[in-house]
Amino acid sequence: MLSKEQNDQLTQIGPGTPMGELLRRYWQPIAASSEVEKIGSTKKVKLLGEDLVLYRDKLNNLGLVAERCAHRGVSLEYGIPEKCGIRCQYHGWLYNADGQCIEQPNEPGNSTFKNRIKIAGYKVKELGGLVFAYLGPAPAPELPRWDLFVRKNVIRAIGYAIVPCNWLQIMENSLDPTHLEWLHGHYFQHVFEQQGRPQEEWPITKHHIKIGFDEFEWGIIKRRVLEGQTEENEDWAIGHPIVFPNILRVGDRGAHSFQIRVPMDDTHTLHFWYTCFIPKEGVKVPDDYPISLYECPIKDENGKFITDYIDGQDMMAWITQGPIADRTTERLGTSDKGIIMYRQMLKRELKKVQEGKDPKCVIRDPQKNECIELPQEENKFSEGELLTGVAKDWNTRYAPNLDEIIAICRGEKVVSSIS
Amino acid sequence: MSEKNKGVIALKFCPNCGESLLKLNSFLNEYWISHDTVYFCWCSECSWRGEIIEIKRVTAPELASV
Repeated sequence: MLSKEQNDQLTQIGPGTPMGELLRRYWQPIAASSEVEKIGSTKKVKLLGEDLVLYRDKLNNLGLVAERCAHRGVSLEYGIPEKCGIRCQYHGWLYNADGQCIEQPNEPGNSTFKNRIKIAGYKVKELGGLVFAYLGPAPAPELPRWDLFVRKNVIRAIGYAIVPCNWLQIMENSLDPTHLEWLHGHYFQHVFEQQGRPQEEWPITKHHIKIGFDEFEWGIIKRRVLEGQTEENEDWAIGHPIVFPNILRVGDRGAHSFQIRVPMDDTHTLHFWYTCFIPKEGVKVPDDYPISLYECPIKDENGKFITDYIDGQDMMAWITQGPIADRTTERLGTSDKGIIMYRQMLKRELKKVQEGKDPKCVIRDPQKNECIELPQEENKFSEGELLTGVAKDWNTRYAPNLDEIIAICRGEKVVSSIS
Repeated sequence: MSEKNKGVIALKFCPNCGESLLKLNSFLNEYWISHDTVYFCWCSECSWRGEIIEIKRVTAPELASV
């Protein structure tokens, strides 16, 4: 249980809030590159409480500015990307990538009015098929080159959903290992039973004997020992990390993935499932194989949560806690120690920011950033390529090319159906 | 839990330096081990981190058998 003041501080992420200031120290993914691939394209995004427009200008550079034109408040989502910025479609005011107004076509030629007009403009970079934005103070740190963003010879797929709840309850799910055996184990068996599917086909119901959490350079390593395992098993000996502050790394031998929780505002989170499928030894993935983008649905046509896939079950658990979980009424037990550890880490890093220091995982040294390898067990739950085996029971089932990805990774000859 | 006691945590001060743990910079998280109430504390003043257990019943561990 937390006090209301503590809960508010950890969950409010708008400009000027302590948590908002902490999260602004990190590059955050806001779109897939494929969404703004075409010169002249725009996309409306919301990040850390700010309404913004991402665009690709005519010199093929990305820009990110405040959504509304300073003149009359029109949305620049419908603006015209030009050679050096985006022009308002209403009266032609032109803004550069910094948000500075550089043209007002209907004002006198010698007017200095435009010099006094500036909207927000933020840095953007692309890596691994994602577009990242930095909303913090200058100088911007390095955009972290986490291993999955730069790894070669993998097939990438990006799923996404706009989840209508606060970012923190999503992250806390990742510090809660025991939900695996219930939400994705016994509950899944219940769903199978309701659907008339054989329940014994589902492997994730082993009881947790032990859980553990260790801080490391990039976050927290989460470990577990399941029934029938020992500490020699990879789930304990290696574990998998929560990359501070808002990424979960999870996977097995055949698929490694990030789950990235991007706070849009206090009650909405843009969630990415970024998966790298690892081909069988000796199999070469085509160099130009596209990165597919797909939406992960939350509810069905009747307005009920879709609970027959792992990530749909997670979303049901996150969202039904309410738009912002009320931690003044929670009843945490010993199995929730990872959640408590993570909250305290957030508080410690908040203090660093308030003292003018860089928080954890802000990287300034380019040499350290060539490729940051993260630990992750591969023989998951002692089931080997478990996630790949159940790829149709987690978010990747919505990837339009899943069958093709699996065939390529197995070394089969395929004619690609996607461009 | 009564509406009145929602979010009200009984512990108040850092056992190491005596600073208030109710200040927003510090961290106090109440949880439960069986019938005992536990306070996970982190003091932003002195960085002390630890747990304090409020004991309802004094028990001894099982003695080793001969």
